[in-house]
Amino acid sequence: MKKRIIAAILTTVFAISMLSGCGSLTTGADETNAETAESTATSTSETTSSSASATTSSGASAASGETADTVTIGLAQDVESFNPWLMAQDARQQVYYNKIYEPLENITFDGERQLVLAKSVKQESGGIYDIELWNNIVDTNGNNITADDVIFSFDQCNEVGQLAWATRYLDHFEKTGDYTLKMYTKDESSVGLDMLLKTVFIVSQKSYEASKDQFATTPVGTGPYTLRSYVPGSTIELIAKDSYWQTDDSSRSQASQVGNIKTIDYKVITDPSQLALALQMGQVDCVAGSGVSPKDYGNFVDENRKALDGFTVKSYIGALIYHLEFNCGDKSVLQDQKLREAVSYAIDSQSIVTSMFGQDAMVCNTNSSPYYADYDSSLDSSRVYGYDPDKAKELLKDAGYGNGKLTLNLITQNTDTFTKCATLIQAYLQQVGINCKVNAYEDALFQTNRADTVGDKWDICLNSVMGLNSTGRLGVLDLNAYQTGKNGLYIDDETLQKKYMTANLAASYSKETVTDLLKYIDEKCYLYPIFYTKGYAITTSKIKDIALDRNDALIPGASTIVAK
Amino acid sequence: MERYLIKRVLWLIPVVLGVAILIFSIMYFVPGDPAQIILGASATQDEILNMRHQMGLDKPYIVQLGVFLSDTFLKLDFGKSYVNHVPVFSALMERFPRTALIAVVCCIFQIIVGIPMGITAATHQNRWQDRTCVVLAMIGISIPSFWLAQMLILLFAFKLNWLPAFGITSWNSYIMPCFCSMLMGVANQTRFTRTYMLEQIRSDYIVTARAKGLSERTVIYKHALPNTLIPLITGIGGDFGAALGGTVIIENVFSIPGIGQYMVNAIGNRDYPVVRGSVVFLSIMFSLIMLLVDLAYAFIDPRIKAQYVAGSRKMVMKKGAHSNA
Repeated sequence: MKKRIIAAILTTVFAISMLSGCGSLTTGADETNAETAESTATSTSETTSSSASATTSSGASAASGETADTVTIGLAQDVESFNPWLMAQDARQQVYYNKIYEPLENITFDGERQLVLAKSVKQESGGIYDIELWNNIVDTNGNNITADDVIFSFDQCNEVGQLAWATRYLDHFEKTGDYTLKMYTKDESSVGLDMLLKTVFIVSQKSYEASKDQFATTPVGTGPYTLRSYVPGSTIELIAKDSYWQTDDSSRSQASQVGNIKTIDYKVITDPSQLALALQMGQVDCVAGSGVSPKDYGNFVDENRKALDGFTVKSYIGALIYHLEFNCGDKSVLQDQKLREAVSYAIDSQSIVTSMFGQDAMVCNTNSSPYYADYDSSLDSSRVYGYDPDKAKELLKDAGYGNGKLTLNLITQNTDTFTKCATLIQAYLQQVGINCKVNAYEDALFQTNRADTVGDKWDICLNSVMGLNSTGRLGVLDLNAYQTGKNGLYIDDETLQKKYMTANLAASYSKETVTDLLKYIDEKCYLYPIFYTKGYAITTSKIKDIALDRNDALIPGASTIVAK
Repeated sequence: MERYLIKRVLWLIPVVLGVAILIFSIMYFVPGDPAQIILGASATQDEILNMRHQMGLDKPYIVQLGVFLSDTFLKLDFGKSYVNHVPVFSALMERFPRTALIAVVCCIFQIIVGIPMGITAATHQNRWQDRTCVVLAMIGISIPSFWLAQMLILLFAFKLNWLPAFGITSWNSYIMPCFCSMLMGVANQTRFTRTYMLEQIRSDYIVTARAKGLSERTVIYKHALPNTLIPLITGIGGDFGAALGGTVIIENVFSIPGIGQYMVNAIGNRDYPVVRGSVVFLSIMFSLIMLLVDLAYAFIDPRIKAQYVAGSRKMVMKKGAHSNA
């Protein structure tokens, strides 16, 4: 009898704890009367008609209207080091890009080029550019930045080696004056110039050599902020400099704006649910990058993705496009185009998007998206290989694979999005009689298998790729990037290479050549684009108008921030 | 006794060396290329080869192993992280105190809460005190630490605003992480103490002690408990070692930059110097803890101390016999 009572008590305790753990969290903001949410569309780039669009909405705000001088941002990971030439990651992009360090040029959120340390960049001929620096650039130590420092910075960047994907375009520099130099690029790629100018931060050689740890904990840059305190893995505090070198407001880049924000506090919160909670409770004003996971969106936006009371949301189109890469090499059955087409016809990408993301993603019918300036919306209006399972079965039969005879190996990363998508694709393929084995790997293993030179590790690769432009994100097709004589899909299609280079070189890069390339890819069914996601920059209502840079990092100085 | 201590310390060397070789070999053969991870998917073959050359990964296995062992044990240099170029040793020294603090608090509570609870349960077997302690222990074992962490944060940080939810800004940042970490340890300790204590209580010498008219308190704490402590201290020592490397979930939920999180991130990035350095460091710590546990045996049980001393004397006598011969 006693045992039964104890068992009943235990059961009750567990049941209560489960129910309380599953309950939704209500905040004070939810209890206030809702006002009509404002919706503001920000302007798109003037140079193209298809740049990324963004909308901002703000819920009812209890802010006083007075400006604030501090903003707190939640980071999902630590920067670990302030060395300016380490590989890009969300935390570094949020913390020290354009705040502590500056490059020669920036790309704005809308895709526009904006000069920063460079006063002018002029193309002399082909891949040769004349660069003139501002002559009054000083870093935190008061050292003037000269052409020698630019050359030094690029040399150090090469030595560190983690940004080789950007510096590969550089051949050499030639100093022509204290503040002028010629940049010789290796090829005339359409992305090369921008990659070089925007990726490599420029620092003073004198300051760098005087640093004991190569700026790991004591960064010295030209940016409008400087590091005040850093507790590794925990907090970072930036403070605005008393005087910034760029005194001409009209020449000051958007990313270098300080506004009224004197202090930026970063808190490292590694758990995604804690990050969302901290934002919900107002312990942080903003979460960096893609810090808020889609499952937490409901705490900040309503079903129409308008901000709830107490929050401001800015939606934007993400740079990543999710697609299938087909192994077209001789070690895979998908070297047969009919089979590739069969796979493409078998998949219903609209259903995948609807079931996985609802309104937080868009079907991608071409290997480009509105994020990219060279996006051609006419290609996106319909899909070359639309969902047609009967056609898929017919093609399978033509190729000699009846029901159940074909087994494909699909590799992907073992994150939530990829595994769900892979499972859905597997189900669609199963419906037409294709057996699909899904192998989800952690990132390191996935990269290794994807880059395998033999070509027998996978038939389909579910991946997401971004780039500076549409061609830039299709580097897997470039023969020159591989030493095996075949590209990343294990083929050496000369026509493809020719079209790729035409769409890649600065001299011939245009919307038309990119469209021509994308049409050829569709014609040969080398890639199957599925979707691109929408991102949401979510802040408390302390931040009224959210200004983001091209990395989707908040620019506090360019945003409107009010006191709570 | 001193000889025994020296012998045990010297034994650390082959143990740690073995661990170092093992972890090096494991990381060497694990698939995944750190150069590829750092440079990203768009890297060319040449760039990857250059990066591998920079990292020293293009050398043969035996050369890399030799370099690693000489740097680690002769120069005491764990190298720099591939990802952020920060010296591994300095990063470990910064992070270790935070993880150690959680582990130490966990062990202290195992001793001051778990053992008394176990004794209470054993001395009041089948009564309400016993049942209460057993039920509490079961709850402590059953509750997943990550779930408990989330619940505590919701309650104490967000609802009541008594404690910080994350970070290491002040001493009270460690209260919830320590509590989550120690709960299972305390629960286990309660159960083990109860079991061992029950065995001792039924022994003949305890009956004799009671027959002699000693108070129950003296019987339990002066006679039964010391005989129970040997396996308990072994468990506590093992738990401490496990806590050093196993608090990664707690560290992640509470955003505490400790060793666990550091290692897990490094494994994902194939950051070999960090993984190797961390494992070697933890193996040294664990070996020292086990040494302390063995010394504690000698302190608690004079018979074991006599064995240690006798063992040392035998060695001395053997050497003496050899030299006489």
